[in-house]
Amino acid sequence: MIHIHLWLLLAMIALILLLGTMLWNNLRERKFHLRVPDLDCFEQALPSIAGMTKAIIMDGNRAEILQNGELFTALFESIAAAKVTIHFETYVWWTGDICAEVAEAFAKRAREGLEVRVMVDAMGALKMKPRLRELMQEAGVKLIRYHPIRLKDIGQLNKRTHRKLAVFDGCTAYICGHGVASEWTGNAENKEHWRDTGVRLHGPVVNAVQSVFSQHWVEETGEVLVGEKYFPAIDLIGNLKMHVLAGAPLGGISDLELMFKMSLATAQKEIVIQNPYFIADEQTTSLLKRAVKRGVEVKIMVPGQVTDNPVVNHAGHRHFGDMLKAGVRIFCFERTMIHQKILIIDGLWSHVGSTNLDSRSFNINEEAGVGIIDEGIAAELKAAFEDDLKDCVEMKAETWTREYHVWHRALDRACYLLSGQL
Amino acid sequence: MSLPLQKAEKAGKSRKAASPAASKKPRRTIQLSYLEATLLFLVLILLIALLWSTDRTHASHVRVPNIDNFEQALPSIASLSGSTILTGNAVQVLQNGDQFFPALFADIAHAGNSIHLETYVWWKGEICDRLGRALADRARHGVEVRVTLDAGGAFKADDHLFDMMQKAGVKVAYFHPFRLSQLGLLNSRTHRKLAIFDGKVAYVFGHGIAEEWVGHAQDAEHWRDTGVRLTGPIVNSVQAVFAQNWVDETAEVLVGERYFPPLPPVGTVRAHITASAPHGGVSQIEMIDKLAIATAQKELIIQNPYFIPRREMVNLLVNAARRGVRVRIMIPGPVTDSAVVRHAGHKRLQPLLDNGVEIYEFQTTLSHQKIMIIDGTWSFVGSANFDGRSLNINDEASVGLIDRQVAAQLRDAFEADLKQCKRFDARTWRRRSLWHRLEDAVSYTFNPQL
Repeated sequence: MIHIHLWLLLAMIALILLLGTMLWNNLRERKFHLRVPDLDCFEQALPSIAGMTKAIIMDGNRAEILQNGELFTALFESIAAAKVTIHFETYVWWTGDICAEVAEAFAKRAREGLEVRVMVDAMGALKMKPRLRELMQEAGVKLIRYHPIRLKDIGQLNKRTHRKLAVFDGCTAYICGHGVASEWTGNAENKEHWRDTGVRLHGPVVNAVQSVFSQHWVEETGEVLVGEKYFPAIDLIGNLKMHVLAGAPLGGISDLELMFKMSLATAQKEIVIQNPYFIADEQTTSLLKRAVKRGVEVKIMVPGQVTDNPVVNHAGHRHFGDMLKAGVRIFCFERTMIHQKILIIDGLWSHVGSTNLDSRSFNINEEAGVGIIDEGIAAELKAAFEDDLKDCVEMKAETWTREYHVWHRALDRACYLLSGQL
Repeated sequence: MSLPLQKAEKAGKSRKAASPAASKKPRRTIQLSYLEATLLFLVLILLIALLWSTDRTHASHVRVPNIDNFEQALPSIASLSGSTILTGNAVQVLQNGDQFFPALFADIAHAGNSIHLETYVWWKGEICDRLGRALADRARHGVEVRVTLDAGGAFKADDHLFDMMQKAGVKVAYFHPFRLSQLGLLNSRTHRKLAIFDGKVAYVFGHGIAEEWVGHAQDAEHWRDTGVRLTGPIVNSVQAVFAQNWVDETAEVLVGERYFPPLPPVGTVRAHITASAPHGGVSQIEMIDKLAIATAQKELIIQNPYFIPRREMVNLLVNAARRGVRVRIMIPGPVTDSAVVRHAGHKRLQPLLDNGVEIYEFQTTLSHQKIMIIDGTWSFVGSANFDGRSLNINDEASVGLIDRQVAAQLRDAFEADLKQCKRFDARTWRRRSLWHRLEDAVSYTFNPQL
């Protein structure tokens, strides 16, 4: 037994409460109800969407869409063709032959004298084989883990990099949804091979992607990447306008959530969403309902039976009944897991990247995507969407309500309660 | 985590209830078992550790290579500080209140669509009333007027004035207001100073809205400061910076050509905005400051009211001086609004002086402008100080201007200011009193918060 003064005890409890409030404050997301004025032209919203997400619309770029395993074919080409630097950042690094292939390709170029910088998320790459890590490090690859799991970083533990990007010689960039694992190889033919989409970019926008890569690099290593090697002056080589969407939640309103909700609020003709983790909150639901009301065609594709995270799936169902009744069309992809994060607005602006439509992507993790303002690219992505529709089951308002059992509903609600962390 | 917290609370309460009955001694003590005491203590330690861990910055060890070609390095410098260089802008430099406020009032009077103002300082006095009335007047004429005020910086302001403005239709938003639910944000202020008119004209400045900033820096009651008036494509970027904090506090999104009009080139100045809102990682302001110092080849001029370089910054400045760059730094002298900052800044002056960095103290009044000029081409004007608070805590906005004429104009002003300065001498500085050194050392320990 020890004796302490009453006031000391009260002071300690008060201090605990104060610190607890401060901590909660630091970690909590800001709930907000976005007010977006009605616009008669979606194009007018683009400077705001770029500006609010701290980016600038850059002209003169080219883009190639890479579906499914095509990404790796292109990636290996770029690795082989690189002359000076290879930068690669990813969340998932699991297992499979592809991991060894990628590691060996990096190691080979590092041995040849290239600067190879690889950043993997410490959590996403927990399963990385020590053999591959050693292979890369011995070859001279600078392999860094983002937010390593250690005691002094305990407050950062929940905050991961979900970005998937690569930059070669500062003049070719990739932004994708793919992880490094056998799931992403192949052509989405079965449940072991997933559906995903990435883009290869050329032009001035690559500077912006490089700066997104260097943010985490400097944070973890202190090394500042300066000079032509990393940021060459790039000529206008195409005719696409683009802006990079790199979310790093700053405690305020999430940039990416803002991007998503602004695009829903300002769409005039069509909203196409393909996303593996789509958890609509009340506001998203009401924005979508309002969009339908003003004549916008809304099509959403989410995973069906094949999903790696049933909890997210159930949480996503929370507002489906509401949306279906209002006329939102929802499709479940059944062939395999769809993992691409596609958003197409009015056949004009498209988003490709790593951002899921859930709280984790908006408010916790670091994400990277690109917004492309081009009807051609939008049409190409739309065609792929139409193709995916063939393997989808459309949810119907009538059957959804009828077959929507009480226990299913309870499960959805229970999962939705967790949505702050999903 | 919440579970042990509740337990500790319960334990505390039950003992508290039991204690008066148990003993009627005048000294009230509580009995805790070792387990309870340890638990309480552990919860406290865990909370402190978590809080520190979520809040800590990885600021200190940025390795910046020497950069020998400014033009080549420019794209990377801009990208690393989160901005893009835009061409085709025109810049007007505005010195002190005498040039700044008349220009501002003229633009207020001419604005037809929207007036946006974000500031840290809004105190009391004639200039505050005048500005408030001018904004209210425009709001009554149907102009959208939005004012973002830092809840801390505008603490002393006259509430009646804001009532009047709001009645006239001015939308006033307080940044990080003092609320229990926002306790963790209490220390994070907006130090940005911006104004945007019709999305076409922008101001970036160091001035606060207070009597201290009127006049022409003639005495200790009238401070020295610098701002710029910008036109051209860069105005879109300044508008975006304003829109960020506005949406944070009001959830109102500024969308459309009304706020982001297409802006054709109107001049020849290249410009970029560095706006930082630090939260972990390396802040953009810190990045740009360090890169700028590392890039200088011939001449580096820094004018800053709160100059507290850390070891790393000192090394960069010393390196610059050693490679032959003429480094001149102007800091406030006896007239300063923060003696602690002044002393903290003194802590690391010796290595600078020893290596040939010229340091000047401005005597007449507080020099509040935040200016940096590199090699007579690249200049910075804005709100960011050279201290821990600006680099790692507050929201800041500075504009980088790449133009020889603008640099020359700012440099002329610096040369003129030099006439009112005293220069530090390395040898006498080394012999400063022990008491003075102690003051410096103690003040410096507060640096992360200054």
